[in-house]
Amino acid sequence: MLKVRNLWKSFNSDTDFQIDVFRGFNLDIEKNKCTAIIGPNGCGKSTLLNLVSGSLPVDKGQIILNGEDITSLPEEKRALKLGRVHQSPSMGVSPSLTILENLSLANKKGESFSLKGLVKKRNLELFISMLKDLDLGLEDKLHTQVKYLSGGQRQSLSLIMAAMKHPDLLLLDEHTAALDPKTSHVVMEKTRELLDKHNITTMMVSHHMGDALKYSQRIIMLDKGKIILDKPSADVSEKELLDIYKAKLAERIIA
Amino acid sequence: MKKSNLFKIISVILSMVILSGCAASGGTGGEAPAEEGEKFVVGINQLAEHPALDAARDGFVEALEEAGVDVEVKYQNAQGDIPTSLAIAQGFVKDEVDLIYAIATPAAQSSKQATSDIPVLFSAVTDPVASGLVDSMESPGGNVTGASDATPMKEQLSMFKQLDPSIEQIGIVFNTSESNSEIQVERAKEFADELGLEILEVGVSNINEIPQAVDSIINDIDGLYAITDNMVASAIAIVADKVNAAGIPSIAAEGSMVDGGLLVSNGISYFELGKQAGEMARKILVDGMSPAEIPSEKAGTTTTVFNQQTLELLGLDPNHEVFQGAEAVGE
Amino acid sequence: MNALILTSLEQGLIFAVLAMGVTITYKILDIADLSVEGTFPLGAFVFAKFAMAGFSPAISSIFAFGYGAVAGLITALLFVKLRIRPLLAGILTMTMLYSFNLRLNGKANIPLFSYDSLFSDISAIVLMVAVVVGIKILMDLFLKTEIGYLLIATGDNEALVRSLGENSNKYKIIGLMLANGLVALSGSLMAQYQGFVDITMGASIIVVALASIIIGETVSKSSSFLSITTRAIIGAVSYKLIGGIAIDLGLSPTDLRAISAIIVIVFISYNNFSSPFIKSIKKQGGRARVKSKKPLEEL
Repeated sequence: MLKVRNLWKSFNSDTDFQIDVFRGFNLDIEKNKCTAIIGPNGCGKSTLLNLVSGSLPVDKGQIILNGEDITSLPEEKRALKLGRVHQSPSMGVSPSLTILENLSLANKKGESFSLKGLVKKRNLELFISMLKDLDLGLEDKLHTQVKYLSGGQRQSLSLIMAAMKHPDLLLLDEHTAALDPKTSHVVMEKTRELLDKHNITTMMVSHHMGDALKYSQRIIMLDKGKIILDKPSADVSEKELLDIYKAKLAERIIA
Repeated sequence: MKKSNLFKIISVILSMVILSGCAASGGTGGEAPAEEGEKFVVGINQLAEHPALDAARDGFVEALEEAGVDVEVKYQNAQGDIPTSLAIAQGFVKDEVDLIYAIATPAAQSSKQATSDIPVLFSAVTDPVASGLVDSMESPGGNVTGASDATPMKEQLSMFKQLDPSIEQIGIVFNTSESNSEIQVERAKEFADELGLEILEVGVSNINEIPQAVDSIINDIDGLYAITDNMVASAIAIVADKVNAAGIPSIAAEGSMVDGGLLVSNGISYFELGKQAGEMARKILVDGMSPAEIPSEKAGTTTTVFNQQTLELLGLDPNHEVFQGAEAVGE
Repeated sequence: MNALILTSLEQGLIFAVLAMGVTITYKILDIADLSVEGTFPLGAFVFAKFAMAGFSPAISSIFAFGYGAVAGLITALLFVKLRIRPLLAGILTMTMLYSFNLRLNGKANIPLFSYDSLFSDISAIVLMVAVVVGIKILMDLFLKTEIGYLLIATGDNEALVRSLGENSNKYKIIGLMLANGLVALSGSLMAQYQGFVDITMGASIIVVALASIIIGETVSKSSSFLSITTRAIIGAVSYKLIGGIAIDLGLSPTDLRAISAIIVIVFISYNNFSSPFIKSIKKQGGRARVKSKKPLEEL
């Protein structure tokens, strides 16, 4: 589904502060599964997501989605095939618009925008059923401006919006990191339900090892731009991950 | 601080400003007439605070007083804001004043827009015809007439040749935002042709650009001519310093610039111009003439003044005919 | 009706068109567009040019709108394509327009007394109410379209616009064009109202626009049922009314500027502070948060 081939990426090139994040990195993501990507700070997991989404350009290499080379496609063109939920609850929604208006916008993704009215009554049923699935009572708040919703509610909405048009690939960028544990749990559960229901291929960057294991089928750990672990999630325990993590940390301190 | 306190403070400040405002304008507003008789109400619509415009107002009022006309004067100043001058004019119209005296072109235009019945007198307008105020100077043809501050430019420019027949290139600095200035530059060019002079003009849109503007032409000019331009008038000292240091004779369109350091002027007095307008007002109010019957006028009298220090600095002969009968300033 | 109040209303409505335009850039797109100081007189000078060439006042006003939109396009391109900061881009356009305005007719002041205007045959207040209401309705409708919503989203969160596969720059350009078109239209209306065009018309116009927006915002802060356009209109008219009342009270216009500033401060303080008195007034706002009160089934 997603192939990353021979990826090279550096920051601050040709200066004293050059950071090489990826040097010839390769990765294959399979269809219809949720692949979790974890790793210590600076390992490149967020950068990887940004390179796939097009927020950052690659230095060298290819990104192939569903057989199509999207490496030179600009961010907004790639967005038509992707869905992304950011870490900040405000980044996936338009705060001054209502839930209904936000959903209507997301519903038009991939179509051309014209001077016709955006909010259509015929979509209401669909939106209401989507919101009901979340079980957060949002279906009663269709006309509430999103800025008045809580962080967890906004992220849940962002999730629906990102997944609404069945993207080829869904990118989850530490999307519960800004939420409190309880809300985080709710959102993760909703995420799992959504992914299961629609079989969406997902790449989930997570800071939380437990969540990563629990909600994915495959787990990849990165360190300094290289894959140091790649196993089915069921075959790995949290302790194993922690040990690797601590070992890597120790390496850094000694080095 | 507590919100209730904040609001109290704000209310107090607001009241203070309002009261002081009322007090200030109370002085310039109308006083209640003591005796009966034919009392006329005149609304003065002045565009901005400015020595020349203020003088035009004072001259007008004095002329009416000297003529013994009983007037209540309502004075309003738009502080340079055109929509305000329009509002002032409309206010006068609704108050049914007997006459509106508008000082400066936009104020005159606003007043004309506000009424086609109430007589409107203007002053400090350089070209009443081009400004759409009158059909022609001789037959204004409407409810508007007045006194134009168009300077006796031909006489002034010819002073260059009187001083020194070899003078050819004349520099003019002007504010591109003042339409009166554009008009003057065009007129200067017309007269220049006749007099064997050539005009080198440089426009500025900001007072800070004036020093550079002068520098850009100083090596190419034999003389500098200062038109009646509000911005240049404000910066006249620096213009004078530069031309005097370069030994370049300068002629000003009006006397205050000579105070500021330019060499000589054969110009109009805005106070006298105001008096001319005041006399026209008397004809309208007392004699019952209509504005259409009163030709628009140019400044009747001119005075020649020269700056003593500048004259000495430039090494000129004080007995030269140009300076005969002239007033000296800057001793 | 008191003369000054009527004048203030008429001028306030002319400035309402200006305020609605600046609302698009300043409030919706969150761009500080200073070019309006050049586009306002641009509308006036363009009107003069076409009116003097023999076109009807209506056509000339439409041309004014068009030229204003082009000016907005220039500002937009400066910062979208050349990556110049919006604030600077606006100032650059304004500076260029100064020369352009002078060149259009070769003069800094143009009398229009002998030409027809939109106000020739209709009373000013009737015409302005019609024009303002008309523009307001058009704008409200526009903001409910797909493109209109993307405009709002661009101002809110560009990342969202991009995630929908759209280029947020496109909407900034649309917004700037529409806004400056309205500003120029307002300038052409003012020229027709006052009977002449003058290059100094644009001075301090940004203050008028922003004050109108702020006052409109504050006056209707707690009632979200008032659309953004209505607030702009209320703000512009209030601003001019306050000025008119002040002149009527005998205040000199210099004090007027201080008063306007103080009024704006008062309004903003009302927003930011909450005394029990203010709160009781604001409580009505809570109910207005949910936009529609109709039960779901009715929709």
